[in-house]
Amino acid sequence: MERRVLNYKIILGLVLLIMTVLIAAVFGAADITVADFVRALASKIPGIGDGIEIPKGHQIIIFNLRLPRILLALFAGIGLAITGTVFQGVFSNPMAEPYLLGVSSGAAFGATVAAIVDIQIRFMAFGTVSLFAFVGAFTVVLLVYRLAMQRGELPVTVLLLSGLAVNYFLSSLITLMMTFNQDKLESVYFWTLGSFKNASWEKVLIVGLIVLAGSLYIYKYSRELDLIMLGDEQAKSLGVDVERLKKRLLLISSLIAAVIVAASGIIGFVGLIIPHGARMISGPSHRKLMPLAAIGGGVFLIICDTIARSILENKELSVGIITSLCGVPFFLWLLYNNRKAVS
Amino acid sequence: MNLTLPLVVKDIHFSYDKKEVLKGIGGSFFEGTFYSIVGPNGSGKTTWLKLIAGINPLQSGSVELFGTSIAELSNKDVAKYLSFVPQMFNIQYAFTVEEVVAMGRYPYMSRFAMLSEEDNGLVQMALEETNLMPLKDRYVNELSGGELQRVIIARAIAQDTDIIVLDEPISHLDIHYQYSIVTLLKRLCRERKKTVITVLHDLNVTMNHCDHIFLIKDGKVMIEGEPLKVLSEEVVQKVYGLQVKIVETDEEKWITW
Repeated sequence: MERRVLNYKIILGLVLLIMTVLIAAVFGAADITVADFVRALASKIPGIGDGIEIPKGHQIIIFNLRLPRILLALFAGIGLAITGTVFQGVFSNPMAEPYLLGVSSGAAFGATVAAIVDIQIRFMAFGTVSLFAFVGAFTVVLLVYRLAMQRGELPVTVLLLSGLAVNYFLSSLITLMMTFNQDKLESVYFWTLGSFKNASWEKVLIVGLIVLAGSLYIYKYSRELDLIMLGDEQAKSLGVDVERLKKRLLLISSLIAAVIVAASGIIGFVGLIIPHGARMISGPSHRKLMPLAAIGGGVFLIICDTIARSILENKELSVGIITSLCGVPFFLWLLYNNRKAVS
Repeated sequence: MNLTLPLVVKDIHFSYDKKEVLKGIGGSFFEGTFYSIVGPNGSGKTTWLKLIAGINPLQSGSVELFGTSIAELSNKDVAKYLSFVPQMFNIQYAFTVEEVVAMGRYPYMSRFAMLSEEDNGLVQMALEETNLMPLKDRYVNELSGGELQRVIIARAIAQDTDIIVLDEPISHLDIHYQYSIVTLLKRLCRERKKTVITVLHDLNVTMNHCDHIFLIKDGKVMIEGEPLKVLSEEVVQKVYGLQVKIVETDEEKWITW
């Protein structure tokens, strides 16, 4: 029964999130303690922090490097988890996620074209590759919807197949372009694996705004998403304008996913795994599921990014490698223990 | 008798692509009456039912709920007058029985409100009426077909509408569940004055339990009325193209082949 939204699971999740942020902030080459970090944060609060002195070095590391990076990972995690939850709900299908429907291949295609055409454009924090990736992701996912649309409805099997076909097609195009531009291969390849290395406050602001506003909008429709999971006809007969709602939610989710891809590359598995993990803890009701998935996505990506940047002494790993390496075994373990609740 | 008339359907034509499935079909549905829509596969039963329930938009003709055209009502308003139970389906996700039944209260709830005392009372009543109390915390994806069908009917009862529309509610069930669901639907008609409209395949259930039959062929009503009176060997032969025998006992009639 849905009664309280803010239950103990969500409060525990929030505590976990704060702890994760604190731990992530002290990890790294420079020696910064939790106390240093909290003092640095407090120093920015007008009224409280006026007297607090922070060493210049700490100041730069915390505010220019670590904090934007942590926040970008947080927002990307929230956004990917929420969009994954929406897709799984809207299509009543546990396999659905935005990347599968063309966001990732569209972004990769855009990034590849950007690397080859060699022009320089810039919009706020985003450079050529990011902008091309954004346009690619958003265009391709709309194209996939368009292909699958029948009489104003989006049948899930046709949609997944269209997404798969378009993914394969674009992968081939990417490989073809790379064959003739082998010098660009490495940079595009590493871009596609995803990273928060180039986090900046501007990126945090744009991604954060779109993710939070989009997620809140989606959350408004959590009860409708529950009904859609009983089937479109059931939802309709209970008074939901199913097709219109689906289109809106998919459009907003795709926008969120495209912005995240533009800011940080293709970080796989989060949108698929986190909603399932959260559902096993909270049950399928979206009012409880979405906050938990959002927190889970944020915590998961911050941890993965912290590992990616600090596990090797002089080299940073792509965060996409870590999300898959940590995420998949964890997911399989959850799946194994909850086979009944999923199938 | 002076019964109110919650639902009037007039002259519906409907085509999928270019194929006309319904060719001018209509009917009047009174309160406290158990209707069955019967006919061969592909005769347009389900299509008609979905238009009545507002699942598919009308192409021509009209559906009036308590005198107001369905086209002038919002989806949520329609949902306060009429509930719909679709053909058997699976629910992928692990909602509990009680959660699914509580979804029937959706049309009455404002966006961020929780279930009110009244809502909760209706949910509990629907669970009791369908004997689902012992199952209320079970996951719906672990239930048998008969149990799941009862959950969806309980959800419709919690929706507390004057009209309940069901698409083949007993087709996939064993005779025990068939009996319990037909008995439940009859009770809703008799005791709570609901208008119950079902698509059925079973002519014997129709004949011995329903108050009124619409026998459909090729998108038109061939014959309607009290089933015991209007169903004859000739009529069944004409609609289904099958030679049958009707066997009569004291109170009942049985069709056999």
